[in-house]
Amino acid sequence: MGLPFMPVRGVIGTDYTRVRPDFITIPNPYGDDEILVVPAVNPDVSLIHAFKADRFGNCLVNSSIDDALLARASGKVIVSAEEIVETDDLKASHRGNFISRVHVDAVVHLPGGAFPTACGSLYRTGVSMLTEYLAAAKDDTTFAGYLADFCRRVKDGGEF
Amino acid sequence: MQYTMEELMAARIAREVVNGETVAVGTFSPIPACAGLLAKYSHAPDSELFIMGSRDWWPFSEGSQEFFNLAQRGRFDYFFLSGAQIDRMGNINLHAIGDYTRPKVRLPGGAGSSMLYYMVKKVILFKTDHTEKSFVEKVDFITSAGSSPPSVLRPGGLHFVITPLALMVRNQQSGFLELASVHPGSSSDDVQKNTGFELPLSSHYVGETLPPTDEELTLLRGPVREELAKIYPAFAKKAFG
Repeated sequence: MGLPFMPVRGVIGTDYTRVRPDFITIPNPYGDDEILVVPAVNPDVSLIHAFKADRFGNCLVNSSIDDALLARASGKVIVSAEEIVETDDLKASHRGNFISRVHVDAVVHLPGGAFPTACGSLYRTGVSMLTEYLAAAKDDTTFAGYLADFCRRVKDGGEF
Repeated sequence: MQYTMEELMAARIAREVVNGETVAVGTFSPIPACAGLLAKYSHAPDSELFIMGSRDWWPFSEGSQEFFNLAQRGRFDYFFLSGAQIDRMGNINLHAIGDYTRPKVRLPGGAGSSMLYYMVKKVILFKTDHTEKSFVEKVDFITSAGSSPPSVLRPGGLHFVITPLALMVRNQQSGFLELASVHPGSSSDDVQKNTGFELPLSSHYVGETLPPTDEELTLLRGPVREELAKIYPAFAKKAFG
């Protein structure tokens, strides 16, 4: 949006204002209440996984999460996609939110790229893999072991 | 009929919904999702139901921002929040156990709860455990507040708190939680023993929570379970009798 901050309802009276001095309560300039303003979030880079993309960067993403918003807020956007298709195919498809190439800097063909999290109805969450990760992530030693083992097992994304 | 605690909690929540109301269910909320579906399939067929994480119950095209903006406009009648800790004032903690800067446990954070608790007309707090550790005098971190300064717009707030033991409501004068009903199998003494603050009987105290009826259980174990399995497959396998 190119704006430095945004007003948000609620929050005043919680401990957010204690740990985030940059969340500021101001009088609502257009009403009688007080309202919180928060600074803009502007990521340098966003990695976004799409159902489909064309080679120009136009793509279709999950409509239940905020990928399209993220793409419009970030400095650089890298899209990975289950499938690379022609632009006409993309426009004919009804599934997902459309992100214009205007916002996208690079496209990578990466089937299974969302795994072990789910990707729409294409594949479900890899529960056993996430369970293994969670157990390993409990401390640094087990996690280092997990990483080493994981990198040895999976030479590239295709082995998912 | 025998029933599970999940079924009792879902049925109790479902009964609150009036036909035509808007019920919104967030992430990690299988019991509220059951409740919304049960209401929809029984006495509230014209209600609007949104379930985060579902394709079928998610009529939005602009991501979760569209959902949250609708909430921020005050358009939800019900939303469901929880917390690692809930305190006597109805504050919830989804941030940290212990000191925030050196936490004993760091929790996932509040997502939209610090806005939703203020802007959703009736917020139901639910928790799948009820212990002295989870119901505390004062939360370690206020992720979202049961009450707020009068200078802040707040059309919404706490409706009730439901746990595997009991249902609690807020006393409008004191702001403190009080006991409204006790689920079959527990007593008010049991509830008090598992609560980290004094929990007097509310003037609205009704004794025992009405257990799920056969009709409610049939719906829960039929169409509700079937829908739920698409969103929460692990829960759908174990939560129904």
